Amino acid sequence: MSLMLKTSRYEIDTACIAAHYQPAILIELALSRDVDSRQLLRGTRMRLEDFESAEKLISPEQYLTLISNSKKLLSAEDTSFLYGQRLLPGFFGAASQALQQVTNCRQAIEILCEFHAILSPLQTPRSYEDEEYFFIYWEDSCASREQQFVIEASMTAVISMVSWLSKEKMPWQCEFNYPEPDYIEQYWVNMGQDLAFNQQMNRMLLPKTWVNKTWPNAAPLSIHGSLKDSRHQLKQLASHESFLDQLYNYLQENINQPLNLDKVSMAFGLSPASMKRKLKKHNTNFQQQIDLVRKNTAIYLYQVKHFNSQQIAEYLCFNDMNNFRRAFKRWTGMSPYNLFAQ
Amino acid sequence: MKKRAFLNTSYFYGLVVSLILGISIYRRWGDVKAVSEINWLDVMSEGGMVVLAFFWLVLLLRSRPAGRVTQLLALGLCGIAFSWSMDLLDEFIRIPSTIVWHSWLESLPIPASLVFLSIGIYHWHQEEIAISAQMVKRERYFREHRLFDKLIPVGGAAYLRKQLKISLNDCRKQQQPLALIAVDLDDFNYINRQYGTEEGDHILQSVCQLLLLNLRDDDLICRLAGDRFVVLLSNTTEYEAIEIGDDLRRAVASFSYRAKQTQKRVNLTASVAITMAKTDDSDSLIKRLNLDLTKVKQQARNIA
Repeated sequence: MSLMLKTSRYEIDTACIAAHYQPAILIELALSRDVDSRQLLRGTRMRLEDFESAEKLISPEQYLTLISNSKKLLSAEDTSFLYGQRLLPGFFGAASQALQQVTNCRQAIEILCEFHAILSPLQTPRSYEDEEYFFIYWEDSCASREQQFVIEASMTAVISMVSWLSKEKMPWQCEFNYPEPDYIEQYWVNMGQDLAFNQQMNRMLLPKTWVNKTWPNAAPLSIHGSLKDSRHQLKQLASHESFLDQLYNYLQENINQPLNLDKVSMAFGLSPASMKRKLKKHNTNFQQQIDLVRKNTAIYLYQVKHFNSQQIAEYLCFNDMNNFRRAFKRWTGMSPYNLFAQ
Repeated sequence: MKKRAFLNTSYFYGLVVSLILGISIYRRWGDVKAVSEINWLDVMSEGGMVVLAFFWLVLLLRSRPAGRVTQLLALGLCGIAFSWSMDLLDEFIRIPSTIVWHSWLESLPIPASLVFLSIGIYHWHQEEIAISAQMVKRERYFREHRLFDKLIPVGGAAYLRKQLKISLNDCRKQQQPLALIAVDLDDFNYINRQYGTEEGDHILQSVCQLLLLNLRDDDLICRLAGDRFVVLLSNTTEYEAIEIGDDLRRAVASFSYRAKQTQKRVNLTASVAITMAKTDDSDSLIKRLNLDLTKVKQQARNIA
């Protein structure tokens, strides 16, 4: 465990995103819509000349500034969706190539999750399944700034890529943790009409029959070459997970035992003070993170493992059911009974 | 915005040259007032007028294409800016009362500019009428540029909602049927991937023009999102709407759009859904239309 945690991790100010990957696609989109390049790059500490060498790395912070600028300058409702349509499989080296050789949707999602530092550096996708559905949910990799834009782009990217590679329109269901926006039509056209807003997480559902269906351009043998190259690519990236990713994963693995700031900081080889500082830098705190993991775990245990409230409370180390109900209400805004009755 | 070809700098050069000339004439014949003599309230108000005149001129030249109307309006505004500037100069430089002609600098340009401006506005009015004739089928009752689509010159979803509300009310009062048609290009996603989004944008623009040609003057077309267009048909029965919907679908299918680079034909097809207004409001009507469209697409795929 401690070995994994010692590997490096990217933070909001780590230069870890190749400027000619996702940021370049957004810049191209903005420029094709006649946005002034100087205004577009203001505050991003990037220049158009930087792209020629294809060596420039930028931080998530810089990328987020670029997103804010694009949103403001393009001031169109469809920017995030147009951006998403171009994002995947993308031109991000071997990982993009692997995506084009996958056998089915399951493999595509596995690749997306394993190589998310390359393919989706701002939102981390994770997946699980029950008897009927395959789930993908997204959590912030670095910060919650521009979350809605990035979620719109990421989900559109997955749906658009899957329909392009499989040559089929799949019956996606999408859930969002924010209220329904004014421009709902963009969602209909890009994600279909099975949408739910004000939900607990940003999540996509697909019936399992679609997940294992073989795709036309499958290359089940040669994909291993691309996967090997992708892993090499990930190693060169130095950090294949963000700090928040690692924290989330650690908390998730240890959520069935008592956890506190001191214990978690120690596992990360940090003092509690610098742990706090790091969390603050990412616009969050320890309680928020642990609540997030508990909420997601509770929903998982209920939907997939069919635990009842009592069992969930025990798993999450609550001795007292009243305590659990109160905490649950704080995480989700609802009592366990109401949420699970839905 | 990159395209500022319209910014006509010669007007500014002309204005600056005449201002310098005016100032040197004042300097030559007049005396600069002492600071205590200056009436700052007058300076503020007259200065404000000069700033406003320049502001109008900049807006005009930046937004309008070159042409006769622009020329007339710009000349008029230049004259006004000049004479107001001379008026402002009065506050700083005193001209001896023996000199009569200095007031000409202030008052002569004004009538001339107003004549230019008036002729300009008259032609502008004519031009607006001509443009409005072209905007039939794309806008109704009132113009709201903020709701217009950036890419394609038709209204967006917000404009459609607004107009649908008005039309629903009218049709209910007159007890007339109202129909909505959704037109959605099939597999537009692939077209974008295969030909690039620039080509995709161009296809959308062309298809929009094509649909416009196939509509009646009273119909209104809007772009809902992406490659989905919605046509609002007032006083139209279901039978007529189905006919128009079929025409639109056939028009897209027989449209031979040629890709810019390869000059090869891009095969386009569209799915069409038709919904009649019942008791629902505009939002649920649009939602129902889109659900119908999803069903139509699903059926087409099942048959294929």
